[in-house]
Amino acid sequence: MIGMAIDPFQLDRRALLKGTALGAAAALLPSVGRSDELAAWEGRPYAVALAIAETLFGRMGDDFPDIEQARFGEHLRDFLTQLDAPTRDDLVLLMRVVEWWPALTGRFARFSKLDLETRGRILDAWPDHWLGPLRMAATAIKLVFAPVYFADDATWAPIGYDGPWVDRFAPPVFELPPVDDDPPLSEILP
Amino acid sequence: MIMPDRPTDGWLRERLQKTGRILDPFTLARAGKPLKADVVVVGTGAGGSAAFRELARAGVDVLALEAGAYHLPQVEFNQREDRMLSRLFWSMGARTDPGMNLTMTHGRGVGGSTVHNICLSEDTPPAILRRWADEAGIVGWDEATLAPVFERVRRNIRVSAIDEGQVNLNNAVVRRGAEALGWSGRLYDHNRVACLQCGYCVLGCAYNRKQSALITYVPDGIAAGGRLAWGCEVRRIRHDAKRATGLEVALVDPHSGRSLGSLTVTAGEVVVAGSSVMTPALLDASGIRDTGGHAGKRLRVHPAVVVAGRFDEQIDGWTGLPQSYVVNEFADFYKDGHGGFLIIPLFGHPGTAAAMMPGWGPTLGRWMKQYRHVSASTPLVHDETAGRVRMDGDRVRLDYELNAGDRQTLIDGIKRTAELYFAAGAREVLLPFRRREVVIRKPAEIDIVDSIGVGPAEVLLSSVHPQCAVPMGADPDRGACDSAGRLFGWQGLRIADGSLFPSSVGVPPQLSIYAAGTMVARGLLRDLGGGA
Repeated sequence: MIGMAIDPFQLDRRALLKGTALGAAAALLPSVGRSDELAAWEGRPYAVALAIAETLFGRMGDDFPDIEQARFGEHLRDFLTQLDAPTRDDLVLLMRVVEWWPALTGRFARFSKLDLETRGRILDAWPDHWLGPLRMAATAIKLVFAPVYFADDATWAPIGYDGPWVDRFAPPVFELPPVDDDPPLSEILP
Repeated sequence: MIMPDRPTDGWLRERLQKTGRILDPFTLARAGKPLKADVVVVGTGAGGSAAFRELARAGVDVLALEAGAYHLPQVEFNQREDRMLSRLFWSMGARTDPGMNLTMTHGRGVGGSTVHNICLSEDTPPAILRRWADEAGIVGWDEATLAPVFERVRRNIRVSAIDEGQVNLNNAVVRRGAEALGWSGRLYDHNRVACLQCGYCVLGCAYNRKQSALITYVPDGIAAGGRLAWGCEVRRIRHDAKRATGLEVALVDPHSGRSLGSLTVTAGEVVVAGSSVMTPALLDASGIRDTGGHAGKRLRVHPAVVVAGRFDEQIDGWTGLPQSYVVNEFADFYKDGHGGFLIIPLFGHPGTAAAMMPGWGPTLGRWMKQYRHVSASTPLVHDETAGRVRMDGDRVRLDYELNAGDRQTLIDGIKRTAELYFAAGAREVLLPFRRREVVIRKPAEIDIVDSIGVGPAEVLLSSVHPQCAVPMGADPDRGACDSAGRLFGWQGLRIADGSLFPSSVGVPPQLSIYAAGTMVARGLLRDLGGGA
């Protein structure tokens, strides 16, 4: 509503939790409780986010900067500061689902500890996964992570994007006066 | 070359600031006093700003509230997605339904969605107006009555025809394909003046060439005596015995999200114009239901998906006017107010484009390497699907799933857009399916769209045109509001945005929404006994 908490990339938490046993388990972990602090993003969720980013963008090709060169972590922190607390909580939950998903599928390691190739195989399957909540999570990850990665100027050269005009071209002030010769409204709408 | 320093905004804003009628949340929080006005307008997009300006010019004591910031375009609009998405959009431009079937983009900040829109300007099609009269019993919204209203709106936001020289390559490719197939289309009108064709319209015009409400209707309303308070997030409409009496407002620093306090506004009339997402959500949050219970249940969105063609030629779709040429061959709604779609070019800056491209890793890398050679368009569906908007705890919840008819229309739209790209010379066409990358290389492969379909699991719909969520009707059985925007069953409460439309308008709706705000203002002036 006008002023209600913004809800970008909102996940259907119930669907996610019901759809994945691991999601339910993740929600029960004490550290997943709702928090209004950006600090909730420190530590493991942040590490998982970096692992996801490396998986998504680290395999795009040699022309593209890696996530350190693209300052992904810095842009992610900046991005998170622009989100409201409930949405940050949603993303923490999402990170935990990703982190613990391998354990549920028979691997004895957390996502962030896996090698790049294995992580890639896991995430590559999600957009077409038979579990709807994982397809949903794949969409959420894409919507969040792509703008964060491509926020950095270093990512633009490989795609030929020349970046903001305002960094190069500052024209003089341009401001027109309001139109003030309107007839009274009653003349056109009796 | 040494570039001059970035200029600050000019004389108009400085003059208005001196009137004391621009109220910021910091000052309001420090003062800690309630506000009072004869009329309070919630929202300053096309509908709200038009109502605000017309009421102010008529001498009414009017106060406009805006949740977002009152931006200084030439200082704050830096053309970077990572900054501008949070400044100009609710939910950073990606509000979704819980199932992630639809992303909804709508504006936040003074000027609302007129600040980030792409300036396409068209009056409500006459056939749509006739449908509203025939099916919903709307009175006084006929073509003849609205003609001078549209003329007034066009003059105020300086609408003119787009020149041939302003057609960028992304649009030229679409035009080439349409002409090769003998399909009808045309250059649109737009509300830009002396455009520099930088291509950053969707991130807000840093050069003040886009004549959005931010630099037209809103300052004109302030100059005429209206007051504007920004950083004011309306939590609830106060009411007593089915009469709206004011608002409960949270004061927020829109740049940081920091809470600054609260504010009470008392008003004789409340005009809600927060968009077809926020308006029904606010009614729901306030426990306000129209007599027939329609509010929030008839949302239309002009659903769209992105179809992309890869060309040998360099297109650089992000430069120049993002949208200028529109294919209207299949827009059946121009004839009888029902059905069909437009094909409209569009393009994204890198972050947005990457979010819409298929896959990740090598697949995403391959497509992003083709960024300069890709043309993108969308079939924009004149939808009949009834979506919902309501509050779910403290969140706005959207629900929208295409009905069978709209699914077929969207399938037709995707197929026609692919056909257009092949006619224009595309090497391959990327179809908008999200489970996997689906690329076709010849027209004979287009029918794969039929076999995959456009169910929720297959495509991610996007919308920039929410409408119809609190629609007008002749009586409570047919709508939530009467033809003057008054909510049935309530006193002192009107709607003044695209929520009012009984059906989607089919075309880019900004002129229709400005006109709606103007119409509601006129009705309110009549009720107040004023002329103006």
